[in-house]
Amino acid sequence: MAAPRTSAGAKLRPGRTLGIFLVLVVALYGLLVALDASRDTGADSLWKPHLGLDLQGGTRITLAASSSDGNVTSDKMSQARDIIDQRVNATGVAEAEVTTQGGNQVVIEIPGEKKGNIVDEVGRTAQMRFRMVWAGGLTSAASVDPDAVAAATRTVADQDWSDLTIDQLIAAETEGMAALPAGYAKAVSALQTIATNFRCTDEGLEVKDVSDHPLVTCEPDTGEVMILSPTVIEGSQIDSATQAFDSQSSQWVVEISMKGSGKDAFERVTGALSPFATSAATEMKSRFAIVLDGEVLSAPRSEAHITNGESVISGNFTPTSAKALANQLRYGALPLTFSVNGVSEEGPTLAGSQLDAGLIAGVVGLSLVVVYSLAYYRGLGIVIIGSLGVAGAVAYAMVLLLGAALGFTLTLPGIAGLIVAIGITADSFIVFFERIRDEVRDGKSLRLAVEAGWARARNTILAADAVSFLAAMILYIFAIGVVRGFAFALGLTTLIDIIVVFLFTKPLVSLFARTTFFGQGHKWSGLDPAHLGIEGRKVDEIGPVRAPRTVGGQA
Amino acid sequence: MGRFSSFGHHLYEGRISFDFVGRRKVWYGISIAILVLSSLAFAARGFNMGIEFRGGVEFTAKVATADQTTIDDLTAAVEGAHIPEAGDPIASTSGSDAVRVQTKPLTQDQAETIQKALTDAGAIEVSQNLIGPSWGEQVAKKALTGLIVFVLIVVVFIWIYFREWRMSVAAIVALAHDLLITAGVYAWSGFEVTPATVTGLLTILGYSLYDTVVVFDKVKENTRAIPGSLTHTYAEEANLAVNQTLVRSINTAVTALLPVVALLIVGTVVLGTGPLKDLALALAVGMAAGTYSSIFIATPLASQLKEHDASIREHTRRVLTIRAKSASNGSASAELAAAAARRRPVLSTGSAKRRQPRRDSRSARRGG
Repeated sequence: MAAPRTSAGAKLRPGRTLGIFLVLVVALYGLLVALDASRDTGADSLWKPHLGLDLQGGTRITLAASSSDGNVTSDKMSQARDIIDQRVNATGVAEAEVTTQGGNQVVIEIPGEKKGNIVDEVGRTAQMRFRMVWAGGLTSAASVDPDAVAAATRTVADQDWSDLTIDQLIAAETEGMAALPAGYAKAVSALQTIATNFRCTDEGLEVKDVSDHPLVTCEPDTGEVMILSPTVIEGSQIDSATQAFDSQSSQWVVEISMKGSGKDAFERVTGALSPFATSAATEMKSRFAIVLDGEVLSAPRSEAHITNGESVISGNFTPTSAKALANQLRYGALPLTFSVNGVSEEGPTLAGSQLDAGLIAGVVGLSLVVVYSLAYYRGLGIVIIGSLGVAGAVAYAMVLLLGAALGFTLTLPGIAGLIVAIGITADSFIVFFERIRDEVRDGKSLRLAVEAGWARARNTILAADAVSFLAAMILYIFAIGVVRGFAFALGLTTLIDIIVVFLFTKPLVSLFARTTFFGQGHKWSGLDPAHLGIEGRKVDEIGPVRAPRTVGGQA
Repeated sequence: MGRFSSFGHHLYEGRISFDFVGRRKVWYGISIAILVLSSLAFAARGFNMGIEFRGGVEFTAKVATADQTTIDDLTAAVEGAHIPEAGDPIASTSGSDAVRVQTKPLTQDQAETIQKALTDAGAIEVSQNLIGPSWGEQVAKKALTGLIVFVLIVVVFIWIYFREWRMSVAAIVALAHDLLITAGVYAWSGFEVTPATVTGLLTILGYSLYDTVVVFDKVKENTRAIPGSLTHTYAEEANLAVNQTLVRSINTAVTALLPVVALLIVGTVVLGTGPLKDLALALAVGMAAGTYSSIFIATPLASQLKEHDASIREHTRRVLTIRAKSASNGSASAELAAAAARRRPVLSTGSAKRRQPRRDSRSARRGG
């Protein structure tokens, strides 16, 4: 067996192991000091753990994804995450964090602010639509008359636009909006009123994108305001969209292909528009708009009559922007449909009392364990307390380090996880001590018993901690929401437990076994003969061969 | 404590022994009775699902003092907001200075109206938690996936570690036992089931198996000598293992439960109903059940399964035959005991190895 050799080796140099461990702990804290010093002044201090929203107040929005084909891939999730992240930033929220969790959840966390009202904006599945450009080239309004806009908006909303055929929609572009039937005159002038009062911003454009109504909106990148027709092709008619490099014009383009009714509509639109693209004077009449979430993504000219639904959008694309547009075209912006799972807004005072409660519970729990260890293990209790203290110090350093490196935040369930871990960590020491006592009872001297007991306890501790760590890991992978914080804390402390028991507790006990107090079984050491229930010898002496034991439980 | 400690010594020596393995029918009976009660509770009462499973909005209003008057005030304020969905809110105190108000699902705008109404009615600060109807269900579904994956991995892990599928089976049965009992306590008591409760249940998975593995490790060690040694049967060795780890089990249960109980009490007193309380409660019940099951269920069951093994059955028969002979013949008994003692050193089992070095070192010391 390898055990005796190893334990003998360890026995020779418990001081060295202990020293190495302490150096490691100091190095860990040194790293933190160095990291803290290298931070910009004004940044949050590194010595304070990142607190979760439940402990510092803020807004958490949880969105659950589903997909029409039931296939929520991690690829789609990370795309959706990126898009939602952009949208959140567009609402002007500075420190929001957007993450994916548990395979199909997107979580938006906004510390310190009550921002639940952005949920509709960021979570809705954006709609991609193709519309005719009834009027383009307008400029953003300098001043806005809200009353006039409100009245005009009502007029447009009250008009029934659904009777118009696609040819009429096209004619309104090529021949001007006056070509629409007489009944629409009032609504058309209302659209013009809205357009002259339209202010283009690139942050949270407030337009109501209704598919079968015209739309006044703008292209945020250029600031061009347009009046657009009701939808001629829905984004769902796009079969595929890919970015490609056109070697002839040596520029990046996006190739799209339509399917079903989209193909026919596209043929009619491009057929009617493309003749106008040939001259600079009329090229404004050859445009159609690709509208995403009410914003004009691009309003290209239709340069050719496309009959097979396959076309190319060109423009000043970079490889990245071409890819982004292709993705947006393909997925109607969000590759997945999201439903709101939860919006929680936590006020700072209530959050503060949660933190207090967590800390109080931790202190009370720890004190109770300390009292119990001292009462039962007496002198050895000091080893438990010391080990728990060291484990706590390492855990604290890791929480800080992971906070700085990976943005790990401490949540209430996380604190609960740490508190629960106290018991599981203490158990490793208990297993070890009980083994030592067993070995002493078997007749070994204390110093031998420590090594022999350790050789046995080690395997038990490793096996048991492996199960505990597995549980934490699986909980972390599958859990969603705050449960993850709990699982993470539990897994982290399990690892720390193993490190502490190997590099701190064991060498410390070995060293203690050499002292008179512990080694000769002082009354208060927790290793005195009476306490162990052995008779007729001191604990530093070898005992007699154990009498054959009697065993209960005869079947 | 000293007495408890020498009690541990007697347990170790086998001078005091509780018959955990032999009386398994009693323990099974007790557990089955509890499980039947649990199942009845599921059937008759079901779970009191928290708002996370129903969907709705939970407002937590911080107030100067939370009492019936403030509850009434705030309830009236919610009713007075004229939002039909927010009618009949459920209000309760949460700690000494907060009131919890739950309504049916609302839109974000409606929720903000209610928030404003609560603030106007004297709430110092209002936290709001708008929960979609499928949130809890999704948490539970994920948890179930996690549970299945975990159980599969752990079955394999225990199987490989102990090289004994019976121990895997026994550990999983003990695990199911703990989860069912915890769930039963929830069904009977009507405590709210929230995602925090689900977290607690999942943590019990880890703890229950952790505890079982520690006991099994001792069983493995004690039974290493079988089938070479004919002094004790497998069941007796397994029972000794449970007795020997009994003190550890009790100490572990106490140290693990103390922080959880602290969490439970502080969570309830300071925060009132909330995730801390839900989590701690599930843990407290589950850990108690976990400790019970690793002693009374897992080991007796593993032993029982093992006894069906042909080689173990043969071994048990031989041990009992020898014992019967020695009982009928006093001198033969001494002879046999001596034979058994003589045989030990030459056995190539772990048990023998374990004793050998001690003798060597003793004689070595005597010589020196």
